[in-house]
Amino acid sequence: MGKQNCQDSLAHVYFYLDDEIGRLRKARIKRHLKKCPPCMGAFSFESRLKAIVRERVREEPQPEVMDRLRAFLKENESGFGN
Amino acid sequence: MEFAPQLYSAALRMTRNPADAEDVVQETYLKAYRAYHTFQTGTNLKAWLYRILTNTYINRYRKQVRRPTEVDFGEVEDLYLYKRLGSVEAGKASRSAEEEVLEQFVDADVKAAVEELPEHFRMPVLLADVEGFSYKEIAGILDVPIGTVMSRLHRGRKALEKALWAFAEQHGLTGEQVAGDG
Repeated sequence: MGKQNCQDSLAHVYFYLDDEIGRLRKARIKRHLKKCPPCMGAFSFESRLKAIVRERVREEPQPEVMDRLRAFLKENESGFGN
Repeated sequence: MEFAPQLYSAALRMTRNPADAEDVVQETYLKAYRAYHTFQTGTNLKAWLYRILTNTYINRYRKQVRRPTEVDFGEVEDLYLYKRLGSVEAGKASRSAEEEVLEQFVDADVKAAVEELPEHFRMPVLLADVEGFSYKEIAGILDVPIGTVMSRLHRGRKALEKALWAFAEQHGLTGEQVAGDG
């Protein structure tokens, strides 16, 4: 039975982390993780990986890029309106 | 222009090139201004802008987009990276050892791993993990069924884990060099 819970939890790790599962299943997985350190380890790892991807991949544009975008839009503004 | 920095960041990962990213963002804003009357207030402005961004990118680079080296990542096992790091660190029995390896990846590694992903995997991964869109929103942005989003995202993440494992090995983050020291 424990193994079944592990399989079920691990099969839904991404749905869980993406917050794309129903409330009941979420609660069931949460309960399982409290009792199962190996599954908790896997969930914690995948969660951190997701965060690392977000943190490391984001890149703020240089101020000049934003300046050029503003200038470009201003230049083309005459085409807006009606 | 609230979303411009984010759109630029996403465009960089799509085009893999600052000049192209800038062009795509400029064109996106121009189209968005011109089509603004079609935007329904009350719906998701951010998702609407990303949809325009994605379409602009695809239309502009469609020819380059289809890359001949199409690798099938379907066979990559679940929790690929975790399992590999786990087996390396098994002797240490520390629950956070695998996570400590994650912290050692530098920005360039993760960016390269994302950029290496084939187009149809890269977009869902970017939109979900970096931009934080829901599956439903991604389906709308990419104009594909939600089931397609889920399967591409799933496979894309596994491919990403595989690429990161390759970096970990290259940079000696896997602990093997420690074993070899003795």
